[in-house]
Amino acid sequence: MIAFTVLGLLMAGGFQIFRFFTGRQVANISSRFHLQMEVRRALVNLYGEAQEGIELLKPDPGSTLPYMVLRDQVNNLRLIFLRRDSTLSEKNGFDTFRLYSVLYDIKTGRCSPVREILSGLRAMNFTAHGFGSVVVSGTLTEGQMSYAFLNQIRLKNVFSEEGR
Amino acid sequence: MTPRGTSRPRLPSPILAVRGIRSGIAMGLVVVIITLLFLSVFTILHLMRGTGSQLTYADAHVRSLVIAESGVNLLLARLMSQPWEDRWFRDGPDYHGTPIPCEGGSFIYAIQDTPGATCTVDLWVKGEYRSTRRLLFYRVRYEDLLFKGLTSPAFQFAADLEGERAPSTLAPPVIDDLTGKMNELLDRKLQTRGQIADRWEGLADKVNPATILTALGANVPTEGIPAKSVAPPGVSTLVSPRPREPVPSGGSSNLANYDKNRLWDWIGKQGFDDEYAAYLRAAAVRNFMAIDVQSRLQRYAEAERIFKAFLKFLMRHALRVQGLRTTARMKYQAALDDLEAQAGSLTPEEYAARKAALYQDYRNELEGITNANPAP
Repeated sequence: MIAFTVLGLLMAGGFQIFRFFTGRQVANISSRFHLQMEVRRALVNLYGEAQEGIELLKPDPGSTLPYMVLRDQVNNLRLIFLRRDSTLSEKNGFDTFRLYSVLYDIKTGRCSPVREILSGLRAMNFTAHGFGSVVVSGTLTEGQMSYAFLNQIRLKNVFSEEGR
Repeated sequence: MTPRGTSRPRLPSPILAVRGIRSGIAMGLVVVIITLLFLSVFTILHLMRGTGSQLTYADAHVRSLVIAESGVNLLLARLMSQPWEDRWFRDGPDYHGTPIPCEGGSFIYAIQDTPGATCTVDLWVKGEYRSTRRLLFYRVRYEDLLFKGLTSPAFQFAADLEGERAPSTLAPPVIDDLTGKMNELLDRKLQTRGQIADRWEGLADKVNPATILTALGANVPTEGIPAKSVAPPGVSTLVSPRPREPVPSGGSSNLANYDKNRLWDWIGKQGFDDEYAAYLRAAAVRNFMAIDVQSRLQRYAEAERIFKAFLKFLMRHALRVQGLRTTARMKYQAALDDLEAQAGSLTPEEYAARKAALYQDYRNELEGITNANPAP
């Protein structure tokens, strides 16, 4: 019985030491991976929403806004905007946002249902360098971890109405 | 009696029996603990592999796009490097179904003359990386300008189809169907151009996304939507007022959404000499006045015609004219240098007369170049 107790204590101690040395790193790596993956996924979605656009309508060239309005390949208006997430904001102790997209169909005069692109955003900004490209910057948070990102999206159809 | 030399099997003593039972339990415990440890490690590895595979999937999306874009640029370079009459698909479309390796993935393409159009090409490139694929479509107008053609091709329309929407082959009848879909999108774009300008005019001065959502009729609660970006202290993100449009975009106007400042900036950044830049600015003022007059009279089609003619002049001719003017100036400079070299053998009067003649020739040449390419 004594031997079992000693063996059990030794195993428990060993397991605690194993957790102490590996658990934190594994959790950190895992959440960093997760944040990076979320950002990549969101950027792929953002590219899909914006890259076929003809013209960036907001922000005006040279300015920065937390939302973006563009004219897509068939002249529909697309608005990409942030909205405060009350639950996450209370949990995190600071303002946390979700990123949404909505499409206004110019032909039918109707708006599409709002689509969520990304959640857990501490901040996100769109800076227009002209009518044809926008720099997207932001910080994604999850628990104590945060991941900042910066990317540029060029509109592919921006030249389709120039020089003619 | 037991025979000698043989022994009866000995029964285990009670002490040995207890020891055997204990070592059996310990062995069982060790097996259970090892199994648990193995399961924990396996679970952690599995979870990490799941995250990694999702990351790889997102990465593959971007890579397939990059590969397709590379294919587009390679084909455009090939197209623009030869005269239109010598294009390799002049006698029929090129449906290249054999994958071309590129950056760890591959792409296939189809290129053909745009049905019913001249000097225009339809280009389809499908990039593939691992299990992801991306199909790009470009309708490009061929311009007989090598540098511009390579650096800034005249895209008329671009579209991107990913995943399931991208077909596995790029050949008829798939290409014909896709071309039909692209033509539908283009028609729709042309039909709605006036409408978007009209709609956007009403929203342009609103700098609050909640107001824009309400104006668009989006079914979404508008509280908690920030209208001002968060910036570090000392950095201003105030939005400058939107420039006024020279032409009312509503009504029956089909004029593309543009502003004067953009054209002023363009003229200022192209490296025109001062004299020619002043000439272009004067032409811009003249054209904008004409556009304003026509717009007030609600002759939107005429306003659009004036605008497009001026834009075409700026984009197509102004840079070429500046090139000719630069060549003339260099010739004049070289002639002046020659004159300076001969100055010792000339009288001051001869030197002054020849210098004045050279300058007059130079002025005449400049005038001739500008007059041969008058601004509208």
